[in-house]
Amino acid sequence: MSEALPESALDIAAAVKSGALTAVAAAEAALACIAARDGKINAFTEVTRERALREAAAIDTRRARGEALPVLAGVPYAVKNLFDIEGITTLAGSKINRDLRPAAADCALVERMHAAGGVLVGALNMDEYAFGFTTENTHYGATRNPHDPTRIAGGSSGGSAAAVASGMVPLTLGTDTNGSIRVPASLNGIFGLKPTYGRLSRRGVFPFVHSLDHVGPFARSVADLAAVYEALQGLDAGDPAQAKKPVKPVSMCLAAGMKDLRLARAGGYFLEHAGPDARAAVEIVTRALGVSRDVVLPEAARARAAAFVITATEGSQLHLANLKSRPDDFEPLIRDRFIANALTPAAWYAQAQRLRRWFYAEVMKVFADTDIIIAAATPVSATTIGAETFDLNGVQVPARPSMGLLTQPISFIGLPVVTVPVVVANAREGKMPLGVQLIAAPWCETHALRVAAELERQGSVKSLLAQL
Amino acid sequence: MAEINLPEPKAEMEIAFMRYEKALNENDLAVLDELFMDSPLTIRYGIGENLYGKDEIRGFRTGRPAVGLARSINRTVITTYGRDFATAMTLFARETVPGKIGRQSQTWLRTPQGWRVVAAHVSLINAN
Amino acid sequence: MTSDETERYVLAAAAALELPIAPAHLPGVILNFERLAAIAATVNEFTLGPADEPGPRWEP
Repeated sequence: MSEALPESALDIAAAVKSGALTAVAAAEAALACIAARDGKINAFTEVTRERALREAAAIDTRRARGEALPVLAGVPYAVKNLFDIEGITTLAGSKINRDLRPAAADCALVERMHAAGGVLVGALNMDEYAFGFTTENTHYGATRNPHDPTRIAGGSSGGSAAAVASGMVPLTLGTDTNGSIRVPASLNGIFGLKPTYGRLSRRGVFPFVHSLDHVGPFARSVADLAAVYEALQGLDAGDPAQAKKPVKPVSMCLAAGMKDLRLARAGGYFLEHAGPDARAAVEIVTRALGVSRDVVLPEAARARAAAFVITATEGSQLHLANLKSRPDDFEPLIRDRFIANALTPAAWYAQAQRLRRWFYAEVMKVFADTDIIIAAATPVSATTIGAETFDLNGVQVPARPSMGLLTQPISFIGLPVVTVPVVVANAREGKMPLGVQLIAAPWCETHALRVAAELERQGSVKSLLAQL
Repeated sequence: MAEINLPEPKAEMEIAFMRYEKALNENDLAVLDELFMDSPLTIRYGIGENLYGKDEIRGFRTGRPAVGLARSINRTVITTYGRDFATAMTLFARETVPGKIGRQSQTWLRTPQGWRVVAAHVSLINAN
Repeated sequence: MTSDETERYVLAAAAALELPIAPAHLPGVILNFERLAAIAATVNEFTLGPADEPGPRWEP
């Protein structure tokens, strides 16, 4: 953020409401910051300058008329380029979608951000069709990690996380099917919220895997994350998977503390698939919270595998026509995998969907005496761009799919998660952030937000603003 | 038997309780009014008044001076029974009332409009 | 499946879907299908009962 702009979204909104800052000046500062910094990061695939200035001017006009301004008045934000933005083609990270017409209308969440006073400054890079955890996009270039530009930003919402971590905008939106909010939040050292499956409307968001797709925000503070989550809620008939749940205000719960919440660390699979930095990050959190109890989510490895099978089946079927007619236009890093996935036998898919119900029932037993389950968000911190493998406790594992090992079993059953940033000092690798998942029972986002707020108050977690 | 403290209704009740607490501290009459069930059966025993029915409760709130209402709460216990019924018990302290411990007990019901207080009792005892 | 069987399955399933696979893509597709099959095996070998319904629920 330029010198003129406060770091937090709520502080920007407060300055706009008080008149200390105009929304147009805030938008221009964000646009200048993007112009100065994005060359190094490659987070943005489109900058919506005209729209930003138009939305900002409208906020300033409303203030001049003496109207009460909404919660995120004048706050610059950006969205992953699979969210429909009126008048812009929704690329979803692909070359193929360039042939589509520009979106006729904003998606539901951009509508809600507009209603909340947000100022849209652009669209953000991602893995093609959200299929990946690294944002190494051959068509648009890799998004670079602001803390070390030789490393990945994670994915698939890599641009969304890097734009926040590099200070270009305080808020972004992304999607998470198998970890695509939690992985980049982890690798960029910022906060991310993946709400319960069905909580927020996906109308106008280019799908990846209908059974597993979630939408959610990134931010640099828990208060900002709660405020944007509040603004994004609301029933929308356009998403058939959205649950008929009332809007739940959450911001005032952040001060409630967390003494009444029962916390536990995820043992077994989640420790076995965590590298030394990931274990250290979890330990920082469990120590800060006084957690000494482990819980086991039974058959987590099979749950992850089943999420893989569902993803393979639904994700490829969606693109079958293009896989037939123009396979060479797909991302070369994943084309062969896409084609192979299209051949998944139906019995594998049905078994995976049944395992999903079974695993959900088992995990709900854990929630009978636990409110928050703590697990690392990624097995390791950001790997080098182009890396084919990384070391996980002595085993070389394929880099691109393995970043999601710890997130996949959780989104598989739609649990809400706040990812919190921990800085783990590592003499060999320097200081790279790594995130920890605070996993709550379905519809209990506030529990995870309250624990995140407590950790932030204690100073145990802190978003890392990259020095560029 | 009703399942006690199911995660989802418990999280909802915590939100409703915190909304009430915030509204009380800020004397936000609209929210305070909203959160008591609109029924002649709703009862609130205050420290110095017995209020029967929503109308008496509303009349009391609008009639009292909006000063010295800020308070801190502690030892709050929220318990849900099934998905639609809950109790919320808390101690509180006001700087304007030194030496006293406040006690507030509320019974909540989930209605189609959301969680509502159907009965409440507030009292003070000496701190020592 | 042996790797011959995998190749035969890939070609037959692709034919059923009318999905042409370019010769240059075939080795990568077979390799990726083998990886997927290994992952799916851990799901398929798990015993589920008749009452274990699939995840998605249709609410008309």
